[in-house]
Amino acid sequence: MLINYTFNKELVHENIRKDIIKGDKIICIKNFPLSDENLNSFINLIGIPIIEYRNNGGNSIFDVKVFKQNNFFRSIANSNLNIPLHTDCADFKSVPNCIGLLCVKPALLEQGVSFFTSLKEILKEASNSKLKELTTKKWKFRNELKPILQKKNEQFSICYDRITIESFSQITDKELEELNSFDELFKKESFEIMLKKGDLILFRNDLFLHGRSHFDLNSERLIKRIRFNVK
Amino acid sequence: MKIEFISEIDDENGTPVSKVLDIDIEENLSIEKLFSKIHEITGIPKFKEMKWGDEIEKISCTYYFKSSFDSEGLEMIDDLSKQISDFPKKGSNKELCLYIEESRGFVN
Repeated sequence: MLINYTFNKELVHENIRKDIIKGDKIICIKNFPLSDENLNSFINLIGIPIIEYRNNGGNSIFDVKVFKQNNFFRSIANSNLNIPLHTDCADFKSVPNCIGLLCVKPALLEQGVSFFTSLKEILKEASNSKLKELTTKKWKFRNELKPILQKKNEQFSICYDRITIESFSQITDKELEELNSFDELFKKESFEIMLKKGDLILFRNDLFLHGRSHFDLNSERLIKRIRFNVK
Repeated sequence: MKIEFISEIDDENGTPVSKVLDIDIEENLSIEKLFSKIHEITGIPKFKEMKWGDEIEKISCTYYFKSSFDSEGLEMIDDLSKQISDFPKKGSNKELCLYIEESRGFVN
């Protein structure tokens, strides 16, 4: 499920772009330089980064680290909480299809482990009735109403973030059960990757769900995140 | 001092919805004090609660200032202890322009 590269002069970005387009594996580039500039320049070779106000300097990179304001976490990404399997930007009208995560400082003691589930495995495992539920029922992702699985040109894509669903709409007990059953299915097929300093992982946001485990508040874990659409 | 306060930004076209607030405050005070007054005036809570497993977690608002006359010029404020006078006045009529974002913190 993982393709490994090492960052050096011989690294061919076109090969990485092709791997991303294929979309069935997670790409890990070892020894990647730890700066926003290098990350942004590299991603610009293979895709078009998403610019957001909340990113560093309002550009393309967000520091995923513990950060508090008013004594509270500024966002979920700025917390040390376990984050369940999800799609990034599930509430966007046009969801970016790729994510890059660069590990600048891992958490201590094997904490803050990244976990993933591929859509391919979900499709293999899901029963027909579950697939029907996933493709037909529309859920409210803040202002966007859409099903969790969508099929376009014979290709499925996934968009799921129950925190967004639960935060912006009233969920019935039946819907809560449905979400729990989806979580169970997605989790069953998940695998873990423990990022090391200098690891840059790239994966399809529309073909993989991702999450991370809890870590100590004082661990200084820092992951640089970039969202982009592959060229 | 007059503040151009952005209460929301339209998701579709990115257009800010703003109003002018007149707030009695010294500019050598922290921007946090100013935001506290804005929270009082507008009734916007400083945090929102969400259920996280068996716990209730509180997620803070996010604070921004306008850093240029360009409509794209919003910057997040990391350090709320900075003085009000340290922030540029880039509002429509050269007021200090501020934005409190209430719910994006729930979206990863």
